[in-house]
Amino acid sequence: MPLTKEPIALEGTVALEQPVPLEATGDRERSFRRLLDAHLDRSYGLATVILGDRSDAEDATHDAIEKAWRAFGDLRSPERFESWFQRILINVCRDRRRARRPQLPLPDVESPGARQPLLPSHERDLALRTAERDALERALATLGDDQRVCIALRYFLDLEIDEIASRLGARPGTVKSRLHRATAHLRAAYDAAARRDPEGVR
Amino acid sequence: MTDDPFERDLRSALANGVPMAAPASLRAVVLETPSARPLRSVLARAAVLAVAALTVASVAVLVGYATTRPADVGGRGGSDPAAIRWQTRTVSFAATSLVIDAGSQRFFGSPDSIVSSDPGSPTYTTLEVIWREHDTEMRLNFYLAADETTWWVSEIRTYDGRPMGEIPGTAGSADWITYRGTFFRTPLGEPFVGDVDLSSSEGHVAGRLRIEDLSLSFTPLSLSSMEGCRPAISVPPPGDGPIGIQRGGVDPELGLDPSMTPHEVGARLRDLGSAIRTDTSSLSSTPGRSGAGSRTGRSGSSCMEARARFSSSSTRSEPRPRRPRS
Repeated sequence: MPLTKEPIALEGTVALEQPVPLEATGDRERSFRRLLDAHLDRSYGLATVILGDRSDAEDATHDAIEKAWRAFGDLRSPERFESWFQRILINVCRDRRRARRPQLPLPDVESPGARQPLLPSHERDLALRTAERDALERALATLGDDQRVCIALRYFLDLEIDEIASRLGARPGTVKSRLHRATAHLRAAYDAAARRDPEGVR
Repeated sequence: MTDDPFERDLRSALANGVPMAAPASLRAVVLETPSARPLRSVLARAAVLAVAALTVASVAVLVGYATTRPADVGGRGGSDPAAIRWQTRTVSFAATSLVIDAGSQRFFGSPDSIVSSDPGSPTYTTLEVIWREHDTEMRLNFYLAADETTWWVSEIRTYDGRPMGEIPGTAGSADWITYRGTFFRTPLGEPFVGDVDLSSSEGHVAGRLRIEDLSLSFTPLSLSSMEGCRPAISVPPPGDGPIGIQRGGVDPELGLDPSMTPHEVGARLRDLGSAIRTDTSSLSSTPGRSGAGSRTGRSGSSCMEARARFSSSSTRSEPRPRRPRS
């Protein structure tokens, strides 16, 4: 199946209309920090979701802040700051994921055919939810970079397709395709876990 | 909020363990800035000449391209040396010809290309080229990687020549042809030089990529090249080749955008009351109105001095690079 990876477009080329007027250095820094502060929590959260590790996310966000500051003059419209900054951040996160060693597959929570002890009904519901969540988390860990980023933008930041496409420099159709494949993969794992009976009978 | 338990659980799984707020350290990041004088002082000085577009985070540079195109499908992309030049801050590409076979179509490239790179990191970058040919969009992407001693290309992609559709990969819609492998492994600091002939069946149509006399180099991004620098920069006289890429930061006072063409840079400088001169040998700032010029960097600065790199073949008659309008 052909890949749908789109090239990550150039940082800072989201420029649209009139350039941001030149300011004295102090004003520029204040403007940058004000914009950054407004979007930092969500952006850091996004990095944490993409990288799956707070420490990595902090490093990645730090790198993205430095890159964004250097490129701040390219930003034509302050209203685009969040999209622009997160685009830089996503690039940094993707690079970190590429540089990672392959991770060992997560161990199965239960081996095939294992029987679970009989639980009270409310605990069976809880166990079922936990099993589905575990299956989701395992399936999330197997997603490729592009799909993981799309899932994070859609279901963590609750962005619409066009907003996701803007952050990725991709076409909306590409985003739809990636999301479709990713959610199909996740839902399959989720549904499979839901079909398992906590009593261990399949 | 959705009623779908899957989506609820997915959102919950994603948010699991994610802090509500970013660490305080991220709000206290030190933002290093080259000292800059207010714009008014630049205008008031009237003794400053400024020059070429430079790096900030990303640069797109148009390339000179041979005006000679093959008359038949079997021809070369151009007979002039280095007919194709693509240059970004991190990647340099030069070749005498480029031929992309995508199914039954053949592509040679275009002078009106958009060239860019993901500046990436010391171990990763890209070269991404976009143009229109045969009334469709073609893209050529190189994905470059590096370790402590070598660099290589880990993947090359082209579009497959089919028309753009709503959803890639569906019947009839444009999609990628992918060339996978470890290509052009070369010691860091050295360019790869040679001919390329690759085939791929990874796509809706078969692909073949041929490049003659390729010279490809990877200059990893280095933070040290970006900090605290007031570089001397210069621009070629009008009509010359593409603007080179330089190390060091651009003076923010100038309001120069790295994607500007030489013409746009000149227009911006004239707006500032500056001028461009043809004399690029001197680093002194001189008022006047003629040609291309330069601006003095701070003497005694530890910054890396920026140097413009021009197209080496100034005798070629090639079209002046134009920045395509989106």
